[in-house]
Amino acid sequence: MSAGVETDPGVARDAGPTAEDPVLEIRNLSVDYGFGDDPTHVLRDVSLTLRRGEVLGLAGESGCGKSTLAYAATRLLPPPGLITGGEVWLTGRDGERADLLSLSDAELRAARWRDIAIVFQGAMSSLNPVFRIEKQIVDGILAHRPRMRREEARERAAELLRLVGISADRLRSYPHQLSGGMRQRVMIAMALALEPQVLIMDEPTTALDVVMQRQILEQVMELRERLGFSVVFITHDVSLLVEVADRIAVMYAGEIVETAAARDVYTRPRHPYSAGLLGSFPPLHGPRRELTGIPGAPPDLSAREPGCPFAPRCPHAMDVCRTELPVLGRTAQGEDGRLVACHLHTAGAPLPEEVGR
Amino acid sequence: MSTTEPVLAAHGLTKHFRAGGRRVSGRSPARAIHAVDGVDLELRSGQVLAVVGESGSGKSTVARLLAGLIPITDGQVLLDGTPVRVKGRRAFRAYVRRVQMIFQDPFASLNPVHPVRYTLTRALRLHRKQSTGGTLRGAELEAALTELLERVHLTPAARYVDKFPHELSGGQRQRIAIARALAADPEVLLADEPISMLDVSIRLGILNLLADLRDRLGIAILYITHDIASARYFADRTTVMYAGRVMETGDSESVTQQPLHPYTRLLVASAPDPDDLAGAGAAAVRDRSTGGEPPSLVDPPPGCRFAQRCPYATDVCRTETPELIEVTPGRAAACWGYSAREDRPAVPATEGASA
Repeated sequence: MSAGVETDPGVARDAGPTAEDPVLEIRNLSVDYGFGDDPTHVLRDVSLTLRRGEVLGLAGESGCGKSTLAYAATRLLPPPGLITGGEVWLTGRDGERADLLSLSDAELRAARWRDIAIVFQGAMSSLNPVFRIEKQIVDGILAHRPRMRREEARERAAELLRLVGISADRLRSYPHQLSGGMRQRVMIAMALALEPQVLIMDEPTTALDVVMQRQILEQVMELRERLGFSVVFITHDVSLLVEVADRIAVMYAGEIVETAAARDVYTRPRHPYSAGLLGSFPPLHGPRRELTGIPGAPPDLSAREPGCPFAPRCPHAMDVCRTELPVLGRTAQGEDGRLVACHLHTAGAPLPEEVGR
Repeated sequence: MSTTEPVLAAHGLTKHFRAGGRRVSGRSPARAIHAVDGVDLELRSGQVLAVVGESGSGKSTVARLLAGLIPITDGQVLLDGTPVRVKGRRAFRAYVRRVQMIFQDPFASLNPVHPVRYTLTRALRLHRKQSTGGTLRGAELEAALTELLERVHLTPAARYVDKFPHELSGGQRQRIAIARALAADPEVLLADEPISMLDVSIRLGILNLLADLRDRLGIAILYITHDIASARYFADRTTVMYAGRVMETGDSESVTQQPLHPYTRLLVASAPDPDDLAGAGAAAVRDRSTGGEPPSLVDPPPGCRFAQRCPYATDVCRTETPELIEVTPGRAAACWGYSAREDRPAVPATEGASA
C-alpha cells in the first residue's frame, strides 16, 4: 500500500495542538475505490479525533463509508480500496505519536492488535471454523509476544474468556459449538487480548437480538471502565449510539456531516440529515407520532453531483446547496464542541425548527 | 372497514423439522426441532398483526406456514373460516391469489434477469383476468401495470417499467416486490421482515406504504419483525414469540407499554431507548433476569420455554407448559403467574416493583 503521503518515518517531532489527550487522530483521510481513470471517491477529507477513554459513535446508513473509514484508518482496506491522502496519528501510552499510514509493514503488524484492535461485523465468519477457540486466541497472543510460553498464553486466553463472561472450559470448543452471542464475546475477548488502546467495533451486535445486544454492550462498557481503552463504535442504529457513545459523528455519502456529544445529537440535531435519521426510528416509549423517514435514497457515490450530497433529499435545500460543498464548521449557534457541515449554518438566515432547537 | 371475523386464522399451528445429525444407534427415534408449537393467530381486514421475536423464535416459520410454502405438522389454517388445504397446483394458486407474501431481501426475491415489466406482468397475467375473460393482455395489462406501480408510489411508472432490479435502490426493489404481491389483489399480505434489509432512512417509507395499503385497500397484514419499536409504530396488535411459542398477545400499545410476560418485559427493557438514559426501571428488569440464551428446540423439555431465564420461575414453570391466559380483555400472556393456581409464581403486576 503506497498510502503514506509523508516520506519521513511516522514519528512526529512536534506534538501539534492536542485536543484533550487524543489517542487517534484521523486527518483529511481520503479513500477511492477503483484504480482506473474514474475511481469512486468514497471518503473525502474526513477528519476525526478519538480522545482517550471515550466512546465515539460513527453513525450513518449502509454505504456511507463508516466501515471504510475504520478499515482505512487501520490500513485493512482490501483492494480496490485505495487511500489517496491523509494521516492517521496514533498516540501511544508513552506519548509517542506515529502515523499509521506511513509505518513500515513490520511496524504496522506490531501496532495492530497491540494498539488498535477490531471486532468485525460478522463474528460468525471471523472465527476460523476448523480450529478450537483456544488455538485462535493463543496464536494471536504468541504472534505478538513471541517470548511468552504457550502455557502462559493459554492461561491468558482462559482469563480473557472469563472477562467476557464465558466459562474457561469453552476454550476447547469449536466456533460452531458456540451460540452467536458467545462467538461475538469470543471476538471481543480476542480483541482485548493485548490490551489495546483503541477498540474498533464494526456493527458488533447487528446480527444479535436485542437482549443479547444489551448484555454484550453493557459488558464492553464495563470493561472499558476497568481497562481504560477507547472505543470507536460503528452502527446504523442511532438510538443505540445515543445510549452507549460519548460523542457521535454522523456520516453521509463519505463525509462527516455532524459531530457532537451524543446527547446533543439526539436532543438538538444540527444537520438536516441527523434530524432525519433520528426521525427514522420509531420510539418505543413516549407519544406515538407519524414519522416519515427521509424521502429518496442515499446517493450513488460513483456519480457525484456538485454541492451537498444530501441536497436532493433535504427539505431545506437552498440554491447554494446544489452548487457548493459545505465544509465542517461551527454551528450557527456557535456551540462549543460541535461541528456541522451544512450551508444553513453559514447562510445567516433563521434555522428551520428541526435543526435550530 | 374492520370486520369481526378474521380473514386468515391459525389454530394450534405447529411445525416440527426433522433434526439431522448423528444417531446414536440406527434405531433411535428421529429427533425433531420444535420450530413452532401451538401458535394461534388471527388476521383481520384492514389490520396489521405484528409477530415479534428474536432470531430462532419461529416467527418466519409462522409466515411460511401461513403462506403454504412448507407443510404444517399439526394445527389448522382457516381462510374465511374454511380450513385451507394447499395440496396440488390449482389449490395452491387459488390460495396464493388471496394470501401473498413479501420477503425480507428484495435483492434476492426479484429475479435479476427480468425487468420490472416482466416481474409484474407475469404476476398480473397469472392472477387477473381480462374484463372480457381470458388472460390479461394489451392495453388492459398495460393499464394494470401502471396502476400497480402508482399504488406503491413509483411514479412516473414509465421510468421504472424497463429497469432491471440492479438498477433500483433497495427501497425501490422492495416496492416492486410489494407491487408484485398486490398484482393478485390479495386479502392478506404476509410481510417477513420487509424492512430489515433496507437503509434505515427509507424503512419508514415502506412501513408507511404498507399502512396506506391497509387503510385504502383493507388488506390484512402480518408483519414479522424483530424490532418491537416498529411493531408499536405500525401494528394494531402484537404477538410476541419466544422459542417457537407465543408468549404474549394484545394491542401493540399496551404490549409495549405495559408488558405482562417476563420475556416481553425483558425485550422492552433491552431495546435501546434514548429517552430513558437513566433507565432505572429498565435496568432493574434486566438485572433481575438471568442471562442466558433461548433453549434448544430439539425435543425441548416440558414447561415454559422462558423458565430457565425467568427471574420468577418456579417448579410449575419448569414442568408444565402454560397456555395463553387472558389477563384483561384482548390481552393474554402464556405465563403461570397470571393463572389462578395455588402454586403460581409471583410475577409482579408492573415492572419496577420490587421482586
